[in-house]
Amino acid sequence: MIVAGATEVGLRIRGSVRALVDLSGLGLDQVTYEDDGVHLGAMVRATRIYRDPAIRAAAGDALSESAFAIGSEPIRNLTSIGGNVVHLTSWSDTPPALQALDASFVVEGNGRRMYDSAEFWGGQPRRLLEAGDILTEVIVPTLAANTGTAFIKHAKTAVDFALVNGAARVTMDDDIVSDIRLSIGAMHTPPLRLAGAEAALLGGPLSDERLAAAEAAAAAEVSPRRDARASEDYLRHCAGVVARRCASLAAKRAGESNV
Amino acid sequence: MKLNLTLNGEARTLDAQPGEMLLELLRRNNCWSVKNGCQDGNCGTCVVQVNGEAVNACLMMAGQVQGAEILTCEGIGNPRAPHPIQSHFVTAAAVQCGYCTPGLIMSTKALLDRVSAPSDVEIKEALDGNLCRCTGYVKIMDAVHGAIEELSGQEATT
Repeated sequence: MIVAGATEVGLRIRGSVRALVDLSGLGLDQVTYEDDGVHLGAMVRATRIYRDPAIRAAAGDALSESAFAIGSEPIRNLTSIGGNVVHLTSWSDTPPALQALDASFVVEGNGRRMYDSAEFWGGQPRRLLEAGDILTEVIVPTLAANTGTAFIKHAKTAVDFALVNGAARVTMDDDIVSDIRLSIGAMHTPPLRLAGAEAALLGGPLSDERLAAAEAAAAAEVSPRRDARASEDYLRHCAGVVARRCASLAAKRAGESNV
Repeated sequence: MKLNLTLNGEARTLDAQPGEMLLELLRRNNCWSVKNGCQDGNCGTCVVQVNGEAVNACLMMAGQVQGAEILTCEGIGNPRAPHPIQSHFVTAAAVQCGYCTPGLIMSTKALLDRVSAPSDVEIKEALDGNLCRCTGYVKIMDAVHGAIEELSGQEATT
């Protein structure tokens, strides 16, 4: 079995390990800034994504905020972005941010392949990995001008697994939403693009009426998994609120990005 | 599995058992400050520094620390010559049952190694993986502030 940060694996296989292959010595913890965006090695830890101002500037606030939302400091020091994505669980925090940011993913082993956002999140990412393959890189495209991003986690406590998490990337053309990507996770694995909520906001101003319509659309288009901590009605309601708040915050940041 | 590592400043060769976690490895080698709490990364009683970073020893496989530098609460001071963080946890009475204390001290140590004058927000972020169930966190914050003051005073004089 292949391990990255190993925060999940250790819990599951304690005492029954035959062999583990640790990826931490492979130099997959590099971050490079290229024309097509920021390239994050699969072993870049959550703490660094949260704390490195250069990563935040290049990839957007949403990714840094999602990295900070993971567990606690000692866990963020271990958790890798590759592991958080490949070992996708209902409480993974970076996936909705990466989906909103339109990130693509590089797999190497049996040849090198790159998966775009739509294909990668079309199911469990592990389905794309054959024996001998590993995820090596996450590429977050350079943000366009007048673009802001945001991630919000809603949970009972800051350290608890998310009930709902979500992210937005919004591009503004004056007061008009000219591009938007909204994603909801936690209640969805893989995370879900909110096509209805996006359509409710695209091409118009972020007025209260349009935000309310987007919130209602989001609540209607999610299908929450069963969660002992909250009812389906509550989760739907939260998904709408998280989507609306993400869109508002991202739009606000888009306005600030060209000041 | 033979592990060559540095434990509390001393080069050591330790024998890891199959499937053993770092927590068990350290306790088997007399690092009793590394407490066995929840065993799933929630409580922070087992926090140690691995290559300078605070991590949950219960979440790392022993085999992952080959060649690493590991620091536990025993390694930074003792009752006769406590580390300033340790002495301020005592003088601020930031202990009740004491079970969470070594983990809190090591999380604080990792923070102060990185930032010499952290804000309250940075302190709370750095300690957000350490639970104290006896009391509140007010005295713990007092202890951290005391340690920051003493350590920055030492820096100014050296």
